Amino acid sequence: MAYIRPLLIAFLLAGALIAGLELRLASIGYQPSVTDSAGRWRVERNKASRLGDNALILVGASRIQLALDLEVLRRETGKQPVQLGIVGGSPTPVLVGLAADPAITGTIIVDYYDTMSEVARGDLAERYQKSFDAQKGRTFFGLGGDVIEAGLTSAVRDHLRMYANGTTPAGSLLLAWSGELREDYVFMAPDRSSRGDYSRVLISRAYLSRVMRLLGDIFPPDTPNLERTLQAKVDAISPSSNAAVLRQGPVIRDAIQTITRRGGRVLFVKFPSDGMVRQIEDRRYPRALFWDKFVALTGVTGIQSSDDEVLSGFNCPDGSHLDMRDRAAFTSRLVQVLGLEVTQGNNSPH
Amino acid sequence: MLFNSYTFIIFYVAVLATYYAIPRWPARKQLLLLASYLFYAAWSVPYVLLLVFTTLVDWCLARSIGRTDAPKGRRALLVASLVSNLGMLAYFKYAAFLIDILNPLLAMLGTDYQAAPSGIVLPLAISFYTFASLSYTIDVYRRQVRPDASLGDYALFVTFFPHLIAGPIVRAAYLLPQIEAPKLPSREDFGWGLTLLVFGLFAKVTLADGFLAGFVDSVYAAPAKFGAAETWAAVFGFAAQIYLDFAGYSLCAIGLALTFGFSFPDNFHFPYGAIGFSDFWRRWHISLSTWLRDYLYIPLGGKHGGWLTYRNLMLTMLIGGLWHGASWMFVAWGGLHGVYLVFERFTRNSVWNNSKYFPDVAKMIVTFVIVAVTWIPFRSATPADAVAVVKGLTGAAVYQGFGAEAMLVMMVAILVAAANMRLRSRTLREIYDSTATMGRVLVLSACLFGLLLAPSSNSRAFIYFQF
Repeated sequence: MAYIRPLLIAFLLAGALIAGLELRLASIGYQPSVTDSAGRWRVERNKASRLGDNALILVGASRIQLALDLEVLRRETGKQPVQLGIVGGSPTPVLVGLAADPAITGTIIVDYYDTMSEVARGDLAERYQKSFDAQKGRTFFGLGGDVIEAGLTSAVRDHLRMYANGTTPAGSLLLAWSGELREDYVFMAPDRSSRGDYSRVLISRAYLSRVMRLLGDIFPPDTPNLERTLQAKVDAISPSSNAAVLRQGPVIRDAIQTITRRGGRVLFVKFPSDGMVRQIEDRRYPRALFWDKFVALTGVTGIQSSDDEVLSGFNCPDGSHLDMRDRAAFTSRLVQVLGLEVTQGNNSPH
Repeated sequence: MLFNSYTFIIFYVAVLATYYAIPRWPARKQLLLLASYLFYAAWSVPYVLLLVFTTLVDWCLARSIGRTDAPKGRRALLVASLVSNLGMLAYFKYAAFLIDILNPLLAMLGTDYQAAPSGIVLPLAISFYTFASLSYTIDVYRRQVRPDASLGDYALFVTFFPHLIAGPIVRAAYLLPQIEAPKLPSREDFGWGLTLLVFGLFAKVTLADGFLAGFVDSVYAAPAKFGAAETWAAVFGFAAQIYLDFAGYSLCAIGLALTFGFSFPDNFHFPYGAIGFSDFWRRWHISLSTWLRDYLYIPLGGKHGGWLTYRNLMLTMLIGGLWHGASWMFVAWGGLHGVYLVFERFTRNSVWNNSKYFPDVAKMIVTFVIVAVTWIPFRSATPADAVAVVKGLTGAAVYQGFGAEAMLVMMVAILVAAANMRLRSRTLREIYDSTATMGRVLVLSACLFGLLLAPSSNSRAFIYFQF
């Protein structure tokens, strides 16, 4: 028993730690939530390949995840939506990956970012795409170790508070220690769509911290005249170089043409932004230098939300994302603007 | 299937429970064989066939070698085994690399033909199981192993899941007798096996992935963004990461095998406590370095060839580097170690080996620093990346100092190296056995707490899985 007894005691202590941590997190108001992972993304990506013409594939980052209601999309387009948006990821690696997959013949909506042509090394979307490429051809009738592991990981982590909203267990331990209730307001569903409940957060703080992150300048929240200081910095922004757009444009064009040639459609949407976030984007990435060049180079079909009277009327509480209460109406209008609605007696969009 | 995955926990518990529930040894072995194929199939079902093919070919050839007395016939059968194993390795692992070399040569010769990119998927663990299987036919040819293993026993030797994916590269002479004779582990061995599993997972999940991998990845992804101090932290951090990752895997493998009653050889023995480079290679990935010694270095002439000894050392290290992957970066890494070994041998009677002038601890530190810096080509994707990291080590931004994460990484790396140097003459079991029960509980609890608290949203594969 010289080896077994210490192990048994240590396992009991570890079990007690988990139980204690979960109880403590529950007592300060934490709820378990679905967490994102490469495995969960791969499950959805596999689905996109299986659905063929019937797929409505959503590619991009957090804006497309928070803005679109999958149930409304399903009902109004007659297609099966697949959410492939990745928080903080570039849409480009995923779009190129979809183009390389002959099974992708459906409709793709891409969440346009002016910086989407710049794919940083180690970009999360690139990592997810690589993990998908690595498991290609290794599944057996759609079943493989990756799929099983993704299911098991979800089954465990979606029910533990210490993984709530992407927190690591170590991070949860610190939160439990401090007794602080983090202002969680973005919740992911098992289908990877997300809803942002901005009624749970101090909006001005969320908004200003986003502006500071975009400016790359962090000030303490109690800085006097913070908003005015930030506005002055925003006003001083000069346009960025569009070299990446010119460089990557042909790559994106080739991807779109590949998908279009086999019967698919690719639509680009610039989702709404507000306040200083919008001003930063407009100043850094002037439309003539970025969007117009991008459209000219790639020949994409796309819209800017700001060009549509209804879509431009939606408010982004943190300057960048829609509140969950606006999702259904926004989605419905976008379906109309993109011409994706099911016509009467016909199960395919006109 | 990763050892640090939920799938593996369920798989392992189910296999272990069934193993102990079955009373008969042949049935137990069949269970382990089936479980091992299932373990591999979790990565890819079709590639199980490749594993079966290697097993069948080498088993048949080894039996034929055993039945043949004529030296020419025996040699021809051995060559067939070499061609089959190395041919498969060349096709699956090195085809793209060879095409990259061939195409510029064809262009230089003025031909229009260019070989198309291969697009071949590299089968998981092919380098490991090929070497394990190859050792059997060579040992049978040398009459060091009897060729009478049953097909089932031989298949279990090749595929036994604890060593299948990333070693230790177990030899037939070591494992086959254990498979043939019925044996269950003692309670002590079972407990020690589980203890090693906890230590291994802690080294991998908590230390390598939790503390080191994120920072190392970010520096190697964009070295120009970091100052010299942070680049040094990443270089030492990677040295610690690859050690904890691979030694952690080896501990898991040895521990898992022990819980089924099988003993595997040690694969690491505090390598960063090495005094010089030949000592380092006696302590690092021992199962590969002894394999290369016995099946490559010694057949080439070993150390009995005068100047040829240096050639043999260089060839062995270059091939050892190439074994890790189809890239010039691995060749460069192996080549650098070859140069160090040649230099060490050449200067073995010099002042460097006089402990009056150079105490052992100084030699350990010098060896560690050189080994750590030599990991740069191994970790870098391209020569340009490696040059960028080397430039970063002497970068003008040296006075940027350490960020908190770099400081943590540096501390972990230094602690790992210092512990290796301190414990270099002992074994892990000796250290554990000399610890009081309360100390054991504390250490194991700390490891389990670390394991529970470390996971991020995405678990990482073991680094050596790619080889």
